[in-house]
Amino acid sequence: MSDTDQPPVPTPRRLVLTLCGHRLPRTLGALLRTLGSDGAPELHAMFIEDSDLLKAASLPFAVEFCAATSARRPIDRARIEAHLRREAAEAERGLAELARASGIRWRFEVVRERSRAVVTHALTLTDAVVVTPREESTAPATGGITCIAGDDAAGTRARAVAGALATAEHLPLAQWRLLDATTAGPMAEPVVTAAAVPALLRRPGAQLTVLPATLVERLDASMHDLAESSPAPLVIVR
Amino acid sequence: MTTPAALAPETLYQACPLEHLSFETTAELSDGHGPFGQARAIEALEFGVEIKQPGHNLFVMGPPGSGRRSFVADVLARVAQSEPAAADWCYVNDFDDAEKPRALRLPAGAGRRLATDVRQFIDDVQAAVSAAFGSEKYRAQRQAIEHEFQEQQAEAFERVQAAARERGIRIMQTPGGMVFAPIVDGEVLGPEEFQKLPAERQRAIEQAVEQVGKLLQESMKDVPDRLRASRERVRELDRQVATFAIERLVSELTKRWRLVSDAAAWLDDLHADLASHYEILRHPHGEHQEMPFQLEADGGEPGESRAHRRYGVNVLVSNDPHLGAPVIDEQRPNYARLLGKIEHRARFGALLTDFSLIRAGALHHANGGYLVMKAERLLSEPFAWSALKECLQTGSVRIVPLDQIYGLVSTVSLEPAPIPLEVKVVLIGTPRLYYLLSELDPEFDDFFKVVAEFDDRTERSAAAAMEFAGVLARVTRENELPPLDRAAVARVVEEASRMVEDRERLSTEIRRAIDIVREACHWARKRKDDTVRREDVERAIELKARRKARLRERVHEAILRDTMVIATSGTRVGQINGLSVMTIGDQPFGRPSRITARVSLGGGEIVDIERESELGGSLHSKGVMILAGYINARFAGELPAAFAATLAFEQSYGGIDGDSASSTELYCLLSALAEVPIRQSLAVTGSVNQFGEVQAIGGVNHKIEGFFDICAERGLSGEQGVLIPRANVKHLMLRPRVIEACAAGRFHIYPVDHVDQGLELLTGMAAGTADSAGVFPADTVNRRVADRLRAFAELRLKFARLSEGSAS
Repeated sequence: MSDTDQPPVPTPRRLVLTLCGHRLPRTLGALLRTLGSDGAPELHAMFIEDSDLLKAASLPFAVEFCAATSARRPIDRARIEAHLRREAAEAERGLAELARASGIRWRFEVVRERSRAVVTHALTLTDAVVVTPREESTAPATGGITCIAGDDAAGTRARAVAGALATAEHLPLAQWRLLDATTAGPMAEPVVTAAAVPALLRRPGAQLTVLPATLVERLDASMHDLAESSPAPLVIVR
Repeated sequence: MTTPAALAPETLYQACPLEHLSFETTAELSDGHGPFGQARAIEALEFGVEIKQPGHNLFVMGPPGSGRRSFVADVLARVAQSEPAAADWCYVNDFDDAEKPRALRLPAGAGRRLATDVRQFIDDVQAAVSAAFGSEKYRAQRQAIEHEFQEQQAEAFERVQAAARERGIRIMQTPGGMVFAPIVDGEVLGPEEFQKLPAERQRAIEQAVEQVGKLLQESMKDVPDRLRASRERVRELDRQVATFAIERLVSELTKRWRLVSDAAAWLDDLHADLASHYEILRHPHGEHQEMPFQLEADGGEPGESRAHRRYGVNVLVSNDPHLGAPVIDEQRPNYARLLGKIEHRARFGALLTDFSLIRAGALHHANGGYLVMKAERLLSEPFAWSALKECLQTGSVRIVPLDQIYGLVSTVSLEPAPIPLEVKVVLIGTPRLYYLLSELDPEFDDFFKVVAEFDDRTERSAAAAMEFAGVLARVTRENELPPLDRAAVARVVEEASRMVEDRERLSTEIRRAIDIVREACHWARKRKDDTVRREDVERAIELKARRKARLRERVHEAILRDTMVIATSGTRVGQINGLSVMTIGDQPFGRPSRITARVSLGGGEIVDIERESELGGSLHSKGVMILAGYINARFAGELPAAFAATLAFEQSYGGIDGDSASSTELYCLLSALAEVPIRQSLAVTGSVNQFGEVQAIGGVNHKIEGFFDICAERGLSGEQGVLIPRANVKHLMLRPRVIEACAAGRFHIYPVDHVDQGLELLTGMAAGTADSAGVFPADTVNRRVADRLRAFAELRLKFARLSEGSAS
């Protein structure tokens, strides 16, 4: 595809950012610049207090399992709620600082809902949603931008966003072609089926993964929580 | 005994004959070499500099202003120039023990080269390592290792999740770990729904949760080992990459310095250290660059990389290989300036230091050469003297901060390796200081075996006058002053004699002569003359004296206004004019004093009123006791001493010491005993011994001039004059006004050998010499004295008899 054939990068008026913790994605600034050729979009941050997690914590037999030490301990819903409040406050402060530095408009809300439902709802509000991982890897992200998309319109827009981000940030771009009924002929890119996407998302190293909303709809229902599905932030493009 | 005649005017001053000065002006003369009149000191100094033996350090002693320091500097500069340059010294990090920096000895001039080479090497190696770690190849290799681990983790977790899904359990992340939630119809089961389930179903869920927990636990138990193994692989990769990046650069550096043993050995250690500290090359300013305060928190200069701090070279002493051995003149030899110091940098309230903050002291700079210091300054600095001795004794310089010596600070500090010391120390001081050190410090003679003694005077001769002229020529040239004609030089030579109060000697205190020359040059320029004449020198001397004459004038004024009573005419029994010298600063002046004596019947005691009132010193008391010895031996014979006498310096309110008035007091006492009046137009100075011989005293010129000034103010009568010991005639260098008055017969200076001569001059009566029977001729002073003493003795005997009669 020649440069002149590059599809335009979508310029949504609003970017929704879902958060499960206080840490903001490292690439958020770059993303705002890329999507804001006509002026930075408004940033709408939604801090998710995952209702499923709170429910699970209320079960009589619930225990918390520490992966690092393999230790178990009784879970305390009140402690989890207090932790979420602190995280939300800190996330709000971080956003305020970012907004002050970059001059963007922003708003912040806390929602108690299932994580997947929040993302689904967000996609009805705007053309681009950023899902921040519940625990973004603290190891240096040595990879670049990953894009998994098919040939539909959303997939094309997702590829445009990924390409623009990679160019702007001088990062390598790894593109995966989603196999579906419309895919035909020899592929220049590696291909992946929708079933294999969860495993691909979990692979470490990427700084950001761009997906079309159409792919998210097709993901296995087992991916209840997109925030847990990838160590890198996800950008979902409608 | 013959009464001495007044001295002829030509004996009162020793002019410098112009024929001794074979030049017209000093411009014709070449510069005089060395200090004036110090042949012995020069010989000692040259010996001391040449001899290279332990303890043969030099003590150059002499009066200030004798040119000691400048001559020492000249000699050392000349000798040092022909000697090999001293080694450079550097402090570097000791990689095994950073608290004990290592000292490197390098050829002269090599220190800075090594520092530059190492700095460049660090820059290069940082760039090379940074490039190696930033390469795609490295990133890929590292990513592969990390991905392998993460994928193992992901796979293990995926297996657990699959098992959980099979059992209807969802694994959810919590802030502290994971929690297992049962799923029913795709929804997480809440507590209310759970309670509604049949007990059997509840148990099944609980069991499923328990099973998933166990599976997860099993899956996670190898994580630490896998993580450790992965990290070790990354470290090994890093080591290989770093080693490959630095190997060639290290090899180049060590090859360049392989012939310099200290540098080569340290660079080998640096090479080994780099292999285990490549991280500081990879992250020159630390890994947390977003935290700027941390960059400097380890004590380095802002912007300086960690590698530069660890591997830098602190050039302590750098010598120019072409300039010979170092000669250091330390003007302020305090402890730190002598031995060096360890500085600190303040960082956020903490004081930090390292080898790069070690600073050299004078001993380091002088190592391999010469160190010149003023002894007085050295001794007045706490710890400096003992520290210097310790360095000379151990043959090394060890920097120990003073706070550690005091034991005030217990924090860990640096202990720099001692540096071997090979230095010749030259101390400059006064003779008093030298003898005090020699007396009080038993180690002093071991460390300062060579003494170069600068004398304060030298013999006055034609050759000395020419040498003196050479020194003046050099001074005028160095200071761009006009030359002196030979009459002016002659006057300066004469003044140099007057300075030491000896017309047969010249003062070597050249600084005072130079001061006169500078001022004379000023007056010559004012006259618009390009040559300094005798009149300029005269004027300089006169005005200098006048500027400092306030106190002298005040004292003389008190005499002239009869506040202090000094008679300069008439006669009186038991009263005489004595002479003393007061010294304020460098301007002594003479002052006459009235001395009186009263006698009465007594037990032979002479009461020194000054002593009794604690105003007289021990030397003065000794002089008075000598009087008693003289009188008893000469007059009392076999009679008991039956008189009492009191002696006093009238209107004297300060302390009196010295025996220069003892002959004066004797004349006064004899006048009182003989009841013969003394001429008040005369003043007397001179000490006396028990045989009545008059002996030399100091300050003769000022004493004469002091009395002359009073007489001249009142009007010279032709009767006035001064009696001086004959031994002092050779010291006379009187002012022209005095000489002129003497030549005109209006003032007289009498040289006296014996008190009898003085008595005749003072009383106008013959003193009288005893015959073989011990009887003095009639109508002589001594006869009158003898008669009076006999009368006192008889009177006393009479009283004794009367007392015995009344008692019986």
